[in-house]
Amino acid sequence: MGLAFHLFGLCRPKIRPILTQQSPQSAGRNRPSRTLFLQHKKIRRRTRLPRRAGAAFFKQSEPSPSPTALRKFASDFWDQTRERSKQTAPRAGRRRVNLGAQAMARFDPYENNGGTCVAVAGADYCVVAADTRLSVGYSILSRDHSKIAQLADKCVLASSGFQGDIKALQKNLAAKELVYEHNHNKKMSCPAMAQLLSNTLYYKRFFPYYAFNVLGGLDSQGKGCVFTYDAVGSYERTGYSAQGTGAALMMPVLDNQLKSPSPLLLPARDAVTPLSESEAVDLVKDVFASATERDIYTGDRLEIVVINSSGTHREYIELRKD
Amino acid sequence: MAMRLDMSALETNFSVPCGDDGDGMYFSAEAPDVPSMVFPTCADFDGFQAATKEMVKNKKGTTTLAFIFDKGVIVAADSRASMGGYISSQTVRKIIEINPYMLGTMAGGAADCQFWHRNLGNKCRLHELSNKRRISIAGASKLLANILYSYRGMGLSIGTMIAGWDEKGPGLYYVDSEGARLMGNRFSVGSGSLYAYGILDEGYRFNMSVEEAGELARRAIYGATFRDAASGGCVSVYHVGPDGWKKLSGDDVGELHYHYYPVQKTPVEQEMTDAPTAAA
Repeated sequence: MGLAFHLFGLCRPKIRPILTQQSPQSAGRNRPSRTLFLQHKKIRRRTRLPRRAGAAFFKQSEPSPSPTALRKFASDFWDQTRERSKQTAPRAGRRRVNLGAQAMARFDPYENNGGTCVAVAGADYCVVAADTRLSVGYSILSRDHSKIAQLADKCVLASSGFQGDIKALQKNLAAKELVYEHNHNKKMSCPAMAQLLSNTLYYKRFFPYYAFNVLGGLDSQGKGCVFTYDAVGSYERTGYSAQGTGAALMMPVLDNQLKSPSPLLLPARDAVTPLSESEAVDLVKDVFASATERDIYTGDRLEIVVINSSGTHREYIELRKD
Repeated sequence: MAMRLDMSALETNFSVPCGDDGDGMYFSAEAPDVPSMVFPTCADFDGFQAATKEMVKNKKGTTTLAFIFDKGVIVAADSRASMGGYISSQTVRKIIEINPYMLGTMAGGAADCQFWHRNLGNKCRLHELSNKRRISIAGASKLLANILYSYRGMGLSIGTMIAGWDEKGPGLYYVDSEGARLMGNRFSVGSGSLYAYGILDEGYRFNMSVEEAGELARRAIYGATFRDAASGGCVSVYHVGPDGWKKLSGDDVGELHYHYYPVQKTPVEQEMTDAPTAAA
């Protein structure tokens, strides 16, 4: 009954001072009684006496030290400390901290889980690929984690960065796509999804999704399209793109193999990727195999999604696992 | 009757910075025409912004210019985007076509510029629909400047020129994320702007043909790409006249260099001949 009352906070059981029985091991040491200990603890707290200094006090004092003696000890302790800090110059390069102030907690919500995404657009196809390694620092958390999400019929998103944000982003886009589908009675086109993704990323401009995205698919004419993004939603339609930890290794190779005249040129020049679908898939396999050699965050397995007029199909190839 | 799904669950709360009460920013709940921004749930907003700046900063180096002359406005820009030393793109559209009579240029953060110009385009179209006339360049630039001023100090990075043709003729305004809005008839913005100004100021006259003006702008941007490592790619030049904008030229800087500095055939002093054989 007493316990029940206690649990509901109706009455508080009396705390009986428990006098510690001296065990054979501690027989020789000065140990204060429980009541005295609690009393001293209160004083120690009030005087901000460090635990270690308090222990020293008990060691040196008589069998049952008085609270007054502890108070005196504490004030002496602080006097000595103050004197000592005056004598020693503050260490260079180290901030002096106000003892009373609480250190501000760091807000650090991001982590880089690594990985690389590539997309290549052709005349009537689009290849989107990403490795399946998920790592933090030097540890590999998973060797089989997909970075690719199918958002619509002809629209596939590959993202690297922080997996938590990526998952949230994919869910958000999938939900918006579903609502669009119900409102308009059609799937979202790839360029529409591209704009939606840009806005979705920018709405978190001040608290960004740590996600580097490549969106691949077919446009309304059935031509392959690739959209490449930064973390806060600036985007551009390109013929090919790489994002993620291995991007700086892959882009020069892709430039070398696929670069077409700039769309800004006037008079405009025809800019179509000169590769066939199977050649593009082979190129993607090659750049991943190469990046795996030099990027610790890329490897394990390569997931390739090919989008063409007949739909999408997925294939996997193995990469180095070291 | 078509049924529309209730999407309200997907919307985030509107929060627009509307002042500082001493403890930090506070946000308003009513401002339906402003996109709903998400803010971090931490006390130290500035510290967080500083920490995330690294990942947000895309496209720092740029050269853009615009000037008014007697036949309209010329707007020109390079097309390079870089993240530190890495060139992230050589094909960025830094001249944004807001509507057929108005152009915006982008310098600073790529996403900031792109998003707010898109937003400005929407606002200008709405103005057109409700007032049955196109918005003036002054009005449009003020819309943008007011938005940017409301986000002042929050880390946006935009240096833009709004150029176009309205009822009063050619218009040109410089607007930036610090809250400035300046009217003028010659501006250059970005890391290469000093080089561009050098060429532009030297060659500028009010009375020019459109071709001359376009060539001056192209040469100024080319000069900046030559000296400023953060500018490059292609040089795009637009002209805005009474009938709207028209793209005058788009040239790859790699090829443009040889247009300005043609490869000289080095005179051959002596034709090489076969060495006389030792035999005979």
